[in-house]
Parts: sequence; C-alpha cells; structure tokens
Amino acid sequence: MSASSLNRTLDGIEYEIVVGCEVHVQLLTKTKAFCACENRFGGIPNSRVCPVCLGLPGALPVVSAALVEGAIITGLALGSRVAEITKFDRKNYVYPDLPKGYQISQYDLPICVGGALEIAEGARAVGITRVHMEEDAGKSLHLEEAANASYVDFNRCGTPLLEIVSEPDMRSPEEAVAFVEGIREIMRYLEISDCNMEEGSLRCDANVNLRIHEGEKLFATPIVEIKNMNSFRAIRAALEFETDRQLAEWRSERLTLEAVGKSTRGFNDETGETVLQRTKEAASDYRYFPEPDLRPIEIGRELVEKLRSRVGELPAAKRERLKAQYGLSDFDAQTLVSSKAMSGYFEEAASGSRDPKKIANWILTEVRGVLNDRGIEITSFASPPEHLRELVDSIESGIISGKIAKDVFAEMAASGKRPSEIIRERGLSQIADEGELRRVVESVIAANEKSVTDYRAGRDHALKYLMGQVMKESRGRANPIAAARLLEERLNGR
Amino acid sequence: MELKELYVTASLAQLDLSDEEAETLSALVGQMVEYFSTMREIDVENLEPTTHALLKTNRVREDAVVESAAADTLVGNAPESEGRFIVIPNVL
Repeated sequence: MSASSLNRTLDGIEYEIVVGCEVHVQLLTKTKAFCACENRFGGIPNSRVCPVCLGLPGALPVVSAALVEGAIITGLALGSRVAEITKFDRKNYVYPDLPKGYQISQYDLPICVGGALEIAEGARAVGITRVHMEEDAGKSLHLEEAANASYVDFNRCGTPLLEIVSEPDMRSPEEAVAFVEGIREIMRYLEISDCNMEEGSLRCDANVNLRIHEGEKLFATPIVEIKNMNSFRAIRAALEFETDRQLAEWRSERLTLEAVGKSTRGFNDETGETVLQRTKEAASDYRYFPEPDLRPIEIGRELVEKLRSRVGELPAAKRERLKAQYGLSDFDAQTLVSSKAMSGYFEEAASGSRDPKKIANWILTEVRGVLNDRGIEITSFASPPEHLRELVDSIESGIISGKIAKDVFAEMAASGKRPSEIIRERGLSQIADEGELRRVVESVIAANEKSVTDYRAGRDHALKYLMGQVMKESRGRANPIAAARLLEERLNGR
Repeated sequence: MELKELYVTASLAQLDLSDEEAETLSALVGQMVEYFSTMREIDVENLEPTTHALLKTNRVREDAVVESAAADTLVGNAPESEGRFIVIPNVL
C-alpha cells in the first residue's frame, strides 16, 4: 500500500494520521512481581500487602520466574528478539499510590526488542519497539463527600505488568483499535493475561499526530499522548476527537512538532473530548537508574527454546487452519480460537469425528452455555473431548435423536459419564424397530379417536398432533422419520 | 552546582529548600558532582560495561503465594485509616 493512498483530505488540508500505542497488560501470575503476595483483582483493601510491595525500609524484592517467562513468551509471540541479558531500573516519581517513590521498570535493557503484529485492518504489520517488565502502582480513591481526603489501597501495588510499545505505524483510529485487539487476542490465547479493560488488566495509551501535506512540503503537528482510554470504543473516540482537534489547531495556529514538542492529554469518557494534562515544559523527569536490589537476568537460549514450544501456533494462523481443515465459518473459528484451551478441546473432539462442524456447533452453543452458567473454564468441564465426539456420532448414526442428545449432554456435563453409558442406563436409544414403532402408533391411534377422525376429515394439523403423541408415548425415542411413515400409512388405511 | 539545577533536583526529591540551604547545598552537591567527573577521567577503554555492581545473575522466585501475616499490622501502622483504606490528604 503506498503512503499517499492513506492520506485524507478535509477542507483542502491533505493529512495523514500517525498513531503509536503503549499497551500495559497485567499478568495472570499467582504472585506479584517482586514479592509472594497474591496477584488478584479487587478484594478487601490492603489485604494483600507485605513489607516489599509497601516499600518498607530494608525489604528486598525478588523477581517472580513467571513474570520473566511471561515476558519471553509474549516477545516470542510478537517476533521480538529476546535479550541475552536484561536488568531492572527505577523510575522515580512521587505519588501516594507508589509507596517506594519509584516504580521498578526497565529502561535501557528491556527483555524483548523489535517484532511485529499483523492486523487485519489495513492489512498491515505494526512494528513492535519493545516489551518490558514492570510493576503496577496501588489505587487511590477520591470521594466527593470527603473532599479533604484520598483513600489508598495497595492491593494492586506490585502487580506484574508488561508494557508493549508499538512503532508509530498505525494510520487510523480503526487500525489502533485493531492493534490493541490483536494484542488482547494473543495475550488471552497464551493465557498470559485476561486483558479485561474494565478491570484494568489491559490499558492503552496512544501517541498521535498528523502529517500535513502542502504540495511538496510536509509538516508534523505536535505529538499528543492520550491517556485514560478504558474501552475499545474510547480508543476510537479519543483518536477521532484528537484528529479533529489537531486539524483545527493546525488551521488556526499552524503549530508544528518542532516548535511545540509533545504534550499529554486525558480522554474524558463523558464528554468524548481530550483535555490537556501537561505540556513539554512540565514533562516528568524520572531520573531512571539501575535497580540495585535486583540482579540482572541472563536468559539462556535453552529457556527461550523451551518457551517457544509453549507459544506454538498463534491465533491468526490457527483461525485460518481451522477454517480450511474443518470447514468452519469465520465466526466459529474466531470464537473457538479465543482461547487455546477451547480450540484444543475442539480439535481433540473433532479428530476422527464424521462431522467436525457439528462438534463446533455443540461446543459453541451447549458447552459454552454450561461454562457460562457455572462460571467455569473449559479446562474444568466434566466431559473430555472424546465424550462430546461420541455424543455427536450417536446422533449422526441415528442411535439417539438431537432432542434426546441434549438430555444426554446435560447429564454428561453434570456427571462426566460417557454418553453411551447414559444412553444404555436410561434406555434412551432410538426405536427404529418397526414392530415396536407400530405398537406405539397403535396405542396413540386408540387413545386419540377425535384427532384420527379430524385427520380423516381432511384436517392436516391433526397429523402433527398425533405425531407429537407418538414422540411423547415413546419418551422422544421413536425414530421420527420411520414413525411418521408408519403413522401416515396406518391413518390412510394402508 | 548551579542553583537552578539544584532547585529542580530538590523539587524532584520533594524537598523545600530555603535560600540559605540552597546556597550551602549548592557547594556541597557541587563537590559530589566533582567526584563523578574525576571518576569519568578513568580510562575504561578495554573494559566490558557492567549493568550491576553484583556480577551474579538470575535470582528468581517460584510463583507461589505466601500470605503476608503482617497486612493488618501494616495497615494499623498508618497514621490514619478508615475501614481497610489508608487515608491521606486529598491529592486531586
């Protein structure tokens, strides 16, 4: 795609939007980054704190192996180079939710460098600058009724974070959204993070400015870093607002990046506007220096290769393969690939099945229904994949009807029993035997004289009723096609 | 050290300096900075850069939760608390 085709024009101004993102994701490790406190969202305030995450004098941090491994896995998934040696640095700033007065982060030797993420929007690869490890801060709460006080909760303090920094490669708000969605898909798939924007386990800041084309001349508007975008809708709205604002500012003041530099603006979800937070003059000076309490980490190539095998096939590739191999729709493939465990369950159930598409349908409707109802993951689901395959095969081969299969499924999901066992125990297999079906038909006809008369008088709907009675009498086990044929033959006096 | 630079450093460290203190400190901090310029003169031409004073690496911790028994005491030590929250002067 040539650069010029990305240009937009408004009121005679030809411009191009340039966006780069900084994405923070909280890791799903059991413990915090540098202490053994439990890493979990919410809970009773200040219940998961210790001398290390509260920054008490003399307390020493020790990095969790799971944080380092999560960072390496993420880097590998994004095609980054994993550093051979990496270290931590202190980022110094003063805020009440940061008890140490600094955040342990990484400055000049991040754990992963480079890489790219393919996004469907605009069919482009967005470059990854770096991935580094750091810790989250606590939370401060401000209540309107208590104007003189703020309330601090340090439970989140020390939560392991990865910061993923992109190159300024995105050219529209939609591409920025697609990038963050792509990061979320990979992080969830690899079970690194649950990326829940509402709970703040995925957060995104964006740097945006415009390139203005005036004939041969090219101008860049001042870069704005937008903070506080807490949903995909907010990312899009904030970038759209900022584009318009920068265009208007260019029209009236012709300010350039060289003249003004960078500023920070916060997005207000209620007004849909960005508000100036600080200018270049007031930019923070973090006085980074190496963290003396943590040793550098040497990353052996053996570990990298071991972790590479855990990355395996990534969501985008898997989606395409599932569509090609099993004939799944876009939507089905997308939903199954939303988690590694879910797509693994599907593939195990589908292998050797006569109808993988039906298996996918069962997983996406019935299985997901049970998971949602009980609030559990597929990994805790009672029935192993081969049981689901057996159930679907039983319908295909006419042993049970689709309706009965739902009852069998409910029991499978509750007890973990094999479907064949349930069918045998409860005598649920379909009646296809003509003799047995005839007996059912006779008893229905004998018991519903009026409907039989109605039918013979030409009221077709009576047939439907009688058929319903046949299914009821057989407790749903009558093979419907054979039963309907026998019923009609009998009613028509043949 | 120039006074202007000293004031920036002091404000980053959340220190409120009087003019007199700044005057005294400026000379003292100047001396400290001086030491670093002396160190900078050392020839490090053939030395590998180090990232840390301790050369040992890779001290990592297994990802296993240890409940902190001290949480209640630590919150109790705060000058002011309400429920489980630590109360501080409004920062907004």
